[in-house]
Amino acid sequence: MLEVSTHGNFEDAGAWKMSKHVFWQALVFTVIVFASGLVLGYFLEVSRSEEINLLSLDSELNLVDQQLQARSSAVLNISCQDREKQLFSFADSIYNDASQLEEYDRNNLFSPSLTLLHKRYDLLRILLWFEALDLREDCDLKFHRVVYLYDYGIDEIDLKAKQKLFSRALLDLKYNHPDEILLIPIAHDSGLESTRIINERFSIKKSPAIVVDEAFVIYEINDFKEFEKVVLESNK
Amino acid sequence: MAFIDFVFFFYMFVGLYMLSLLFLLYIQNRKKVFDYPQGKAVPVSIIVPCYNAEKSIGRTLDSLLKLKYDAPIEIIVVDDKSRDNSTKVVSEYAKRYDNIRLIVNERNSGRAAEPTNIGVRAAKYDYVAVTDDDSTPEEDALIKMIGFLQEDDRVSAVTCAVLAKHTETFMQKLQAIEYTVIAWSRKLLDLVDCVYVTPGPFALYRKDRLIEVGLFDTNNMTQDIEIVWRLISRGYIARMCLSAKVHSETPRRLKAWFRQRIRWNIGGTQTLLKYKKFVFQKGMLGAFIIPFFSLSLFLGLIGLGIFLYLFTRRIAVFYLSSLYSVEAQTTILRLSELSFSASILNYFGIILFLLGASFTFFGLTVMGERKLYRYDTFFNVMFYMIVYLMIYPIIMITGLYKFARGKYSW
Repeated sequence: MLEVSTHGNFEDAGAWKMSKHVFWQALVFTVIVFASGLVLGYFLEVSRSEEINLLSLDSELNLVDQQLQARSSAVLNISCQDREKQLFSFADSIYNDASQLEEYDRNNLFSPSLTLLHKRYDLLRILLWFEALDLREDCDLKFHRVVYLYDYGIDEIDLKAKQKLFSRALLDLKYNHPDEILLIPIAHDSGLESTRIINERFSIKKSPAIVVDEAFVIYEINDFKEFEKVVLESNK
Repeated sequence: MAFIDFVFFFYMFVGLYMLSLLFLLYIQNRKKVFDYPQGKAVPVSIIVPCYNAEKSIGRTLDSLLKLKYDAPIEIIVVDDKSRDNSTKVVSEYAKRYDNIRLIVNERNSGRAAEPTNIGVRAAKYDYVAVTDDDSTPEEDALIKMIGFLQEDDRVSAVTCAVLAKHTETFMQKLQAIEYTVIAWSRKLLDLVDCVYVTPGPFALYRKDRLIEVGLFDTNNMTQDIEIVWRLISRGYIARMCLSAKVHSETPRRLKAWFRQRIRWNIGGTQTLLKYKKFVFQKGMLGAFIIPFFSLSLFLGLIGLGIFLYLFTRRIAVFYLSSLYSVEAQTTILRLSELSFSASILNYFGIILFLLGASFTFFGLTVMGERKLYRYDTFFNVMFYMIVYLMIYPIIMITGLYKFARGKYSW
């Protein structure tokens, strides 16, 4: 006499059919979890965009502050050293903000608005450059303006590697001479009219490129010491 | 979003779906996964295809002789022209035990199918079991499995939990984890009639059904997969008895393991190509088994391709930039270059990994494989999940290459 296990007859047709529904149950469960994840991810990116937006707003306010100081330095008796200090502080601040923006952008999937934020920062840095030029004229200060023109969103391996080298060399230069080097990285392929004019003005042939004190352009860094010497002796 | 991001999301979705399916199957049926119908012990012929197994065949025969089964059992060892002393060992057993027979194949067929078929034809009973020449089924395996064939006429094949016999080398420990999780997963798929293989270490069949469908395919490298797909395509089904266990030898080293997996992969590919015409037909064969196999193959290949592409690019950029930095004598690496900000894909990946790890640990717990619970279990499972499973796409590629070239053997 056949006996079925005491835990129930799982060959029963009703139970069998119920088991097949598990495919649909799993699908519904997966869709719910997946959709929840996507929504959470979207809100995470929006929150990051908001954070960068606020930082960008803060930077823009700082820039206006700089411009006001430049216009009113004589009236308000702001010394050249103070203006220089604030300029460098502003440059460091937008450099850090832009680094954070780049990091978020690398991991961004849904929000397209970070590209616009990139452009805003590029414009801020161009304005920073002009502020630096004005300050140098007003105060005859000896700091060097090192403008790094790079491509944003490239795929070529060699170009990426070269840009990494340039970034490292420039950061080394900045760390070695924090009060003498004003480092201004600008993505010159962002489609802005200002960057197009810069490319034309300095006859930028290829990327990446470094404009030193508006005097000459460097396209290769074969030896850091030599590069450092060339930059520090510029405009002497 | 780039195309690659869509591919990753697709991967995540499929992975999440499979895990959800298995978890739901377990939750809904957890009380009956170890159940089996109590069958009546009837005479069984056990076929043992044998090749160069002088060191293990004796142990296999001993375990078969120890089966607790209240009905006649005949054991037919079919030697595939071994070059060692396998036939001598078996002959000694045949002299001592009336129910052990030795048949020597006139040629070396190079695969298990032909000697198995010889054995099935020579079997005198209506039920035949097949076991490898190095496997040792537990004493109660047969009595637990026989009921499946008797309670439902559609059932023509029954498999059991194939577990690793030894866990001496690190490779064997990883396989022990793999075999245990596979056994559990296979039982869960059994609950929806999706058993797609009756592995060689120990399986039970109705002899008349085997003969009806034409016995095992001698051209297939994994005849144990192919026979089940053939049975299902003819309207029969295979079942799995998780309570019945057989312990199988596993390769001790990476090289032997790799060769074994290549063979399995080639056999799987042969079977897939042979039955591809049944996609979305023939019940669960077309509805789940074929799509599941195809998707696994496809995702494995695509995954490897994408991984290699992205990994190679990253390495190339890192190598070149480091080379330039060394030449120019700048800093080679800054902390700021390491990105710690995660994207949604990273979070999905982490969640999927954690779910997969939970499933693995859960499976080990359910299966009660105590020997796997040692101080190094956590490390072994993590290594299994992160490294061991990642080798599979390489096996797929290698298997496909060998299959395409037609250069493969047992």
